[in-house]
Amino acid sequence: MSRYKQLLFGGAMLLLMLAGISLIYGAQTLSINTVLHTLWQGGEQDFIVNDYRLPRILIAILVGTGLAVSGVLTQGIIRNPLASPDLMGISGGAGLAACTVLLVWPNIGSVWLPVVALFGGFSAALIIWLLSRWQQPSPARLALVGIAMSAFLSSCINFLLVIHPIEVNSAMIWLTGSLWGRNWSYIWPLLPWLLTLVPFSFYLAWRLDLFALGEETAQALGVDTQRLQIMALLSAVALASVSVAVCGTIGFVGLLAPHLARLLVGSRHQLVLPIAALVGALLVLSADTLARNLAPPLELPAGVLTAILGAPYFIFLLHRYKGW
Amino acid sequence: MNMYLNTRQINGFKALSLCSVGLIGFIISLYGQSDFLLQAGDVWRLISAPDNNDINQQIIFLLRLPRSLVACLIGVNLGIAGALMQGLTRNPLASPTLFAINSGAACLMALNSIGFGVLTHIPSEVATFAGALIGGLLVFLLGGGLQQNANPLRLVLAGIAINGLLTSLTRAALIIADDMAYSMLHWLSGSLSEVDWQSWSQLWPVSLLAFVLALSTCRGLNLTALGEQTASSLGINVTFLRGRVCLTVLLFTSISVTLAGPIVFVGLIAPHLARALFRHNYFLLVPASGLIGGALVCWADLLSRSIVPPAETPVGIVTALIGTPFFIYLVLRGKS
Amino acid sequence: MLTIENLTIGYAGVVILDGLNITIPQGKITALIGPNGCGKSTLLKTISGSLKPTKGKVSLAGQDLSKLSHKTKAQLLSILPQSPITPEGISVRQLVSCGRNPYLSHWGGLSQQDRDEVQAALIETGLCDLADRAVDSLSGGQRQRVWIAMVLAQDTDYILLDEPTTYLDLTYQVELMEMMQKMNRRGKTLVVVLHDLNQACRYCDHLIVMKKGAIIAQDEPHKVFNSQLLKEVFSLNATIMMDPIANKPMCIPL
Repeated sequence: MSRYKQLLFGGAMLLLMLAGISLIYGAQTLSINTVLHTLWQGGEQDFIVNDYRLPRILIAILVGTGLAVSGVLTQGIIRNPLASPDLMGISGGAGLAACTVLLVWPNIGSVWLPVVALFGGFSAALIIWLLSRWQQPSPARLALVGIAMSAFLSSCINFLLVIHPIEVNSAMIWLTGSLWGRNWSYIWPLLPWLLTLVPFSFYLAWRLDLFALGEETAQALGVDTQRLQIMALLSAVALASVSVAVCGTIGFVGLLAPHLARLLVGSRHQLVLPIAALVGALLVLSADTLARNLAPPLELPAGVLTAILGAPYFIFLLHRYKGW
Repeated sequence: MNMYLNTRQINGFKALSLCSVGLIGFIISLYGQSDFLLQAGDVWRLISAPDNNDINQQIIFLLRLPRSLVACLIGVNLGIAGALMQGLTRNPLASPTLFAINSGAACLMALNSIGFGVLTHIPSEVATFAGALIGGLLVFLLGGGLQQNANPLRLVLAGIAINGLLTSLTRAALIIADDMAYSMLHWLSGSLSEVDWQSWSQLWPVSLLAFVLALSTCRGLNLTALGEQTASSLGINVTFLRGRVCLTVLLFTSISVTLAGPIVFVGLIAPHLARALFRHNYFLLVPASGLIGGALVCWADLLSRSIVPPAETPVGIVTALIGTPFFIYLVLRGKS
Repeated sequence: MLTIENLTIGYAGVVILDGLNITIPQGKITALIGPNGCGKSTLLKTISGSLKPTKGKVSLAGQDLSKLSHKTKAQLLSILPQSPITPEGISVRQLVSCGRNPYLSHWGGLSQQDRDEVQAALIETGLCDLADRAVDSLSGGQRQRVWIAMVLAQDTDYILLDEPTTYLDLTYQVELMEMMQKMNRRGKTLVVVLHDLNQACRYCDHLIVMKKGAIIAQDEPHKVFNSQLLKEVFSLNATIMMDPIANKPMCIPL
């Protein structure tokens, strides 16, 4: 078996194991037998296992995949290690839109929230795209615009929270990113997006490799770079926005997963995408499992843990990276 | 003669218009946007005919005056801190916010107020100062601040990572102690509503000390603009200079963040504006950034009281809302 | 006299300079030549003190340079880096006056003597007419003259130049080399990193040839510059002829 396949297989095994652990541990610890039994036949633990823990695990995996793939696409298009959905203001836009709606209509259903978040994410991306069309900044400057944009959006969110003090806490949890109380009804709006967009990003992978050689070279090799940029960016925005809509702005996944994947398997997008998706899923799932188990029954937001897990690793990467 | 090494050249007109913008903001903020009916005349009477029994005069003297003074001075501090950082790193994006000074202070402040471990036993001012120190140093060291010719992007990335980490820790603290969430959130967004004469008496000595230190680094910064190797060849001890600048910046920002919470973007924007007016000479840039920062925070404070009266919007949110579009404009306009 | 004893330097386990012993002759122009990555710039940076040697020392007239304060050192020795940074909008006179920094007291401004020195450096480099122009509006050759003027204003006996001719047109390269000779006639000792071997032979009095962090040869051009050396150091097959104008050796690749 090639090293790549070993890596893929190992990652999948790890994910499966983590999912098992996540099913077993929690506010109430179950035995492996109970879990297996309940999974097949239901029983008295049916609610905890099948309605509470299982959907959360699936959502964590989906959201992690979505954020990671979105990160790979953004970094590929902007050709900048800084680019990621959370730093480009996309998560911020989705967050602001969702937050506004949550404060105004607290009872909006889980079906409409992704749509609203999508709208917000696209608007933020559109603004950044228009700005970049207007001045054609260098990638580093574009990343700065994105960072400023996310800072701006997060202060808009702060502003909303300050003038609507009643909802502060739930909004805060949501802003940090959490899977608390997410059940099956959240999976169905998420699934179709991922099932179409993740395969689509594989379709784009080869073109992105060519794009990495520079825009002119890619054009000379017959890639319609403008169309590629638009398609990849749209997919990235959509993936990030639906993920944010379901469990808030979980930070660092979109930035970290592509970097880690590239460190492991080099720079070819076809190889990077699956590994990045695995890393993303692992990161979010382990963060959520920890979040539930650190101080039960109190629950920390998973976003805090992705930051705690992600930031030191990111710094380590920075330290090792020699390509400055 | 136009000298780079001392302070002889001051463009009178620019300096005067800057001062007057700041002063007008200062005076309006003394009487404007209040729950009480205050007028410009009350300010005048406070100076010309002080009267202890006049309620309006008392409000201006006891509540408004310290608040406006503190707002101005904090703006000055943040503006100068930003200018120094941008000079030292030769990175136009360096600012107290990027260096995680604000989020470090906020994080320890939050942990302190929820009573986390040993942090309960130290006063909140000390915790905040320590947080600012830790955040700033972490970013500086991890971003390659001690290496020669470190890539500016690396610093930005390290800043983002540390900021993200500290911010989520802060949020976790807020979620755990949800009864204090609202007041902490207010503080975390940068608010001047708690300021009084006591804050002023804590603020000005530190600021003065930092200002003297800042002036003493100006020549070094001017020469560092030629590249570190050149500066070193011209007799500047670059390592020592770095240490002094870092200390100065920490003094400026930590005292400001302790009193008013993180007020973002002032440290980033003020130096850029100052540079547009006075180019590259730090002997002019430092005071000019201070003036612009002061005027900015003063006006932002005034605005913060008038957006959704009678509620106060934290001033940090106002500076962010004004600052970001401007910052984006700056980034896009600049040469690549 | 500038002497280098047993100088060793390395980063992260890789040795870059290995036990160098060099004597820079006083009042001469010395050229450092060698293939890319042989440690020329590192040597120059170590002499100027911006890199710390792992072992060995650099001494000037018997004094260990690393023991001197930054300011004192800057009064004895100046270095022009390969790519100094030009701040946006700085004027020629402002930049040249930066060279006087080692002579200023901590809070003091420029004295009359400092200003005279700056003026003299501007006259020397023919920049008087451009003195109030912004440096970033000048051409590459003029800009390099401004930097040379700054080094002149620093008024040190030893001047180190790191590849000063890179990115310049041939006209400006020649102009710069002649300026170096002029400085040398006023008693300055120069150490220059050069890429063009023929220029090094023609304008310099002393050659130091380096390869992989070691010194291969150091002497006057006509004593060290031969086809065997070129073969050994640059893996270049070349024949050596005498330059008919300057009567110095020059190489022609075969």
